[in-house]
Amino acid sequence: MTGKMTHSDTREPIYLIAIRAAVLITAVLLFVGPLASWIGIFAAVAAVPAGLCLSRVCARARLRTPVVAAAGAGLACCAFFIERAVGRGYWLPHLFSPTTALAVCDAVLFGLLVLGVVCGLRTLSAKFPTLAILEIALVAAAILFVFTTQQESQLNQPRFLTDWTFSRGHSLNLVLAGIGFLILGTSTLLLLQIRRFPKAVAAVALLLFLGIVGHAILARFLPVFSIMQVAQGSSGGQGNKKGSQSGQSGQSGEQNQSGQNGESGQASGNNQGSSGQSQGGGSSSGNRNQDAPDFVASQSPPQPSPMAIVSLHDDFAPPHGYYYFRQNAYSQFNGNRLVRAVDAQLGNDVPAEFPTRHSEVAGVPLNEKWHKLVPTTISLIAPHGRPIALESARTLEPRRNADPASFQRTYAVTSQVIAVPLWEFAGVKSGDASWAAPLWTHYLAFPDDPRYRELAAKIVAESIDEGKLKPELQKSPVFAALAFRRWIEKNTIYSLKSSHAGDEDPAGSFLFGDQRGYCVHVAHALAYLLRSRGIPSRVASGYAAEASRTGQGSSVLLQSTDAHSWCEMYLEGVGWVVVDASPERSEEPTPPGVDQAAQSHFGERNHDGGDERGEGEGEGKSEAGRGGQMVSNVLLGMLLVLLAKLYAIKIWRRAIPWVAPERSLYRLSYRATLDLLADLGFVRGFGETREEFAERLKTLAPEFGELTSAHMRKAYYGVAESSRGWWRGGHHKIAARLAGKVPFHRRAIGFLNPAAWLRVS
Amino acid sequence: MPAILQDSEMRLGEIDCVTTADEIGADDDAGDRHPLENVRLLIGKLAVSCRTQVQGRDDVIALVLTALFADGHVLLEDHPGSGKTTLAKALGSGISRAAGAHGFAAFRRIQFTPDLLPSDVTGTAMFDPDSGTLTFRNGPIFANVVLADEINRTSPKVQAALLEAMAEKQVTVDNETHALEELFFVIATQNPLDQAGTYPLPRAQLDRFLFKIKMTHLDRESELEVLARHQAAKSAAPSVGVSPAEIVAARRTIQEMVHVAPAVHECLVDIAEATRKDPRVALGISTRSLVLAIPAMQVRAVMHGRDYVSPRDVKALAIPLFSHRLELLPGAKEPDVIVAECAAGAIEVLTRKTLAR
Repeated sequence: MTGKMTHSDTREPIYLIAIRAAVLITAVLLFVGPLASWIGIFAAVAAVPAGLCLSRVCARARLRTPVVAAAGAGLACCAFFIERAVGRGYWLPHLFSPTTALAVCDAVLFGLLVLGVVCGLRTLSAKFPTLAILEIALVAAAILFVFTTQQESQLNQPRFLTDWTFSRGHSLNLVLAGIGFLILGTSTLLLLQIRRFPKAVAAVALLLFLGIVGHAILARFLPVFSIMQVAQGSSGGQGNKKGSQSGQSGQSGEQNQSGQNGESGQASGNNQGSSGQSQGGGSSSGNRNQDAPDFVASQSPPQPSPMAIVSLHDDFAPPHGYYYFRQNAYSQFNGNRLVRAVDAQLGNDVPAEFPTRHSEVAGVPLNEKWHKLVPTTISLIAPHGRPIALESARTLEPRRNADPASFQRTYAVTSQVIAVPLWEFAGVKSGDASWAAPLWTHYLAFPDDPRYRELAAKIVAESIDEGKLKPELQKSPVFAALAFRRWIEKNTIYSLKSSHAGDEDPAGSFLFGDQRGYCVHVAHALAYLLRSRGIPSRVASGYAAEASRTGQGSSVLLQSTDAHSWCEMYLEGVGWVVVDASPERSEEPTPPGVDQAAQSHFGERNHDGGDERGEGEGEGKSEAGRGGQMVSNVLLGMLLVLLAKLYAIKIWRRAIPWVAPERSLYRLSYRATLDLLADLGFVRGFGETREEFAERLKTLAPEFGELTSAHMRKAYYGVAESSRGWWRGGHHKIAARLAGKVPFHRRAIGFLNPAAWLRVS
Repeated sequence: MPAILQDSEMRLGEIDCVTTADEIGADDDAGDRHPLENVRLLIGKLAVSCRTQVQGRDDVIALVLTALFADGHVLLEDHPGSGKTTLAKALGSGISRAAGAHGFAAFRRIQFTPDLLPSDVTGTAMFDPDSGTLTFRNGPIFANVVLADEINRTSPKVQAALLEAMAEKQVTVDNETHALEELFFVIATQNPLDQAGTYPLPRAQLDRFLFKIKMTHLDRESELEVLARHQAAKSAAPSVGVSPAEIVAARRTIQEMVHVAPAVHECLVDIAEATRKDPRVALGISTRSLVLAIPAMQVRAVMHGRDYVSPRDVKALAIPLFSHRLELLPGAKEPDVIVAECAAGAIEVLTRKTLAR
């Protein structure tokens, strides 16, 4: 069979070869194009005809199939190793220029990779037409690769395919499905050509298995492929079956789910900010990267959903009972409310970007008397536009995502927190003496409304009157802040129903109107009151969580209901200090508490990742996923069980002639002999009779003929030699013959081959 | 040509494992040998005698002898001058008759032509002036081995006369039935290429031939040998002297003593079903052909020194047995390929059964 196929292949018409080369070159161009330099692309394209020529040589040579497959795979692996060895070393860039070094690396990597894959696959499919499916899968995978990566905008190439699709108004998924069906159809046609149905089914099963294994392996170990792992949509549904070959198939459902949820959350958040329609996303401030806090909130408190998990690696009890996780700071007064400062320098104590390496936040004063450094690890469960950090972040570092299925990302923050109560700062001045006049103006701007000043003066005076504030301290910014806080807590009502959104000055409308509002109003009111007293202040947003909630392992689970805005004031030498008031009276029901089980679950997962230093490309890599690991573990387990089963059956079939009754020996002992021959690759062909098979092996093992005719006589006449000694003797004589004639390595491979007996029939 | 077909044709050539001349020489102590062993030697004697006169046709000789001992007839399809007459003559010369029955011969040849009449084959009643009566004169068909050359050149009525004789081993002339001898073996030939002015045999008549054997040109070696031995063969044609009675007895022995396993029967039925289901075939092989197949396989088993029929016999004989019995749909060619394919599956099943309980 093999020989025949090889023969027919060598007589393949030239136009077929040309078509095949063209298709392969197209696929290679598609695949390599976005990844490689021009040199690399050229090498890859040149490797296609080279691989085809080499495969013809291989097909003609009487190479054994595993050798061919191993050689192809080896060549491809070799490419990676050489590229690594050459690219990581310094001698090449030193010897030439870095550009040349890059080009050489590209050429070696892609040239050898394509050469190995093309040659290996072509040779295999020349020997076994069924395996041509692998070629189809490869081409399809290349196309799907480009499609999915373009769809996710992960390649900075002209996105000719996706743009073309979109410009005609087709859904990309539809196109992908179409490609999938095309591949399915082609392979079905191919399979129909092959008459023997089990073989076809086996081929498809093999393909699926390879696809899954390939996906699991590639997704985990090759960074090249992990770029496709980032937040894939529901793309490639059909194509995945074949496309999984090169590892870009869809991720586990979980991830897709969360990605989509995040997106929709974001969308609804934005909606709300712009249109003023309240649809229950008001709490997901973590999700939004807005320029200003909203004066709009949902009508009813939404159900809490987990947003992030924070693990504190040091004991820290906040003096006022709340952990404040800052995400945004708003200090610029725009005539209506406070928004993010136009000057990015202001408010740069709040990190705007997620860390990609160790980074420090400058410009935060540190005083050991008041401050404490608390290392934390933060894993974001919902997508966030900016990092969150416990009060003031000093250093940020990426961390390995310990649970990609649950976490968007993980990073570590060393936070500087204020460890003493506010009144400790009684003697501290507000602002900073070194500030220039425009900065003071920036931090002191508030609505042109005399009532703020009047109210502020009134509150301060009242507290002096009530004896709560000593007159000598009436100039103290902190005590003014405490007085304002006290006043607001006593005199306003927490309500989500009153948003004052349309008003010219929502904070004024809140403070001097119905005095009903929520955190954003309170924060603004406090900030304006402070500013009216000449105290620099701003509004910050993020999460606030009760310290008492800290769960096992000092983990705090931040929920969507924890989203909060608060006021901050600047004290010289201390930095931004939280001044937060929560009205004593509330029209809203108490939000449900935190889910302790979820908190400890996420906390544990978070700790797993916290210990390990993240890598530079950790972000993409970490997405590969627990799902992939689970799949590969399960596959590995199944593979091991299968292997164990095969070996058990092999041993059983080899040992049974020793104990079987003598009347069955003709069958069982003969079968053991056939197994022995199959180990070495001698198997009866389809339609070949046993005598013909024995005749074929006449020169190798003459005794096999005798055994065969005894076996046949017993099977078809019912009488034959039946003593165990005779049958076993024949078996051992054949074994001895084979030992003498077959090279050792083939016998060793045969001995270890667990599945050779499957070919015995 | 598929590998299976090539294989099976090649296997037909394995006659050298039948008997050698040495074995035949040592048949003094025939008494204590197994009866089948005697039969094998008998077949071997004839085979050796044929082979000395016809070179390079070992496969055809084997098939012809198989048919002879299976009580069937063969149709040789070949080109003129390919040695079929020589073969038939050689076979006839191997059979020696005691000079007994009047008008009977070991071997006769009938050259069929369009103007031939049935009486030219069967014989006719002639006026005997001595006795003044009409007496039946045996035609050329009254022989043990008849070579019916170019059978498709003659008219259907002549063909019919011959076929009646083949089927019934009797000849009816003027309402009078004349029995032929028990050993009656027809080797018919037809030219596959030259079809002009012929009366092709209908499928029903083809069905009466046990084998249709296609002869190809000799290979180079055999052809050279033919030229080299041409003179020698003419001078010395040894007679092995096998009597018709011996052959008839051998037939009986074979039928009684060669075991045919039920699995082999199943295999034959499988092949028949496969041909009937094949989309290229209008009419599959008949049950009669399966019945005829069994003795042929038994003979082949004996020729290979076995007392049981094995899958190999089925494989080797499937094409000569069945391919001329298929009625193909228009457009389908190569009945040999179809039979080989149908048989391969059934033989594979049969072969696998030996390992099953």
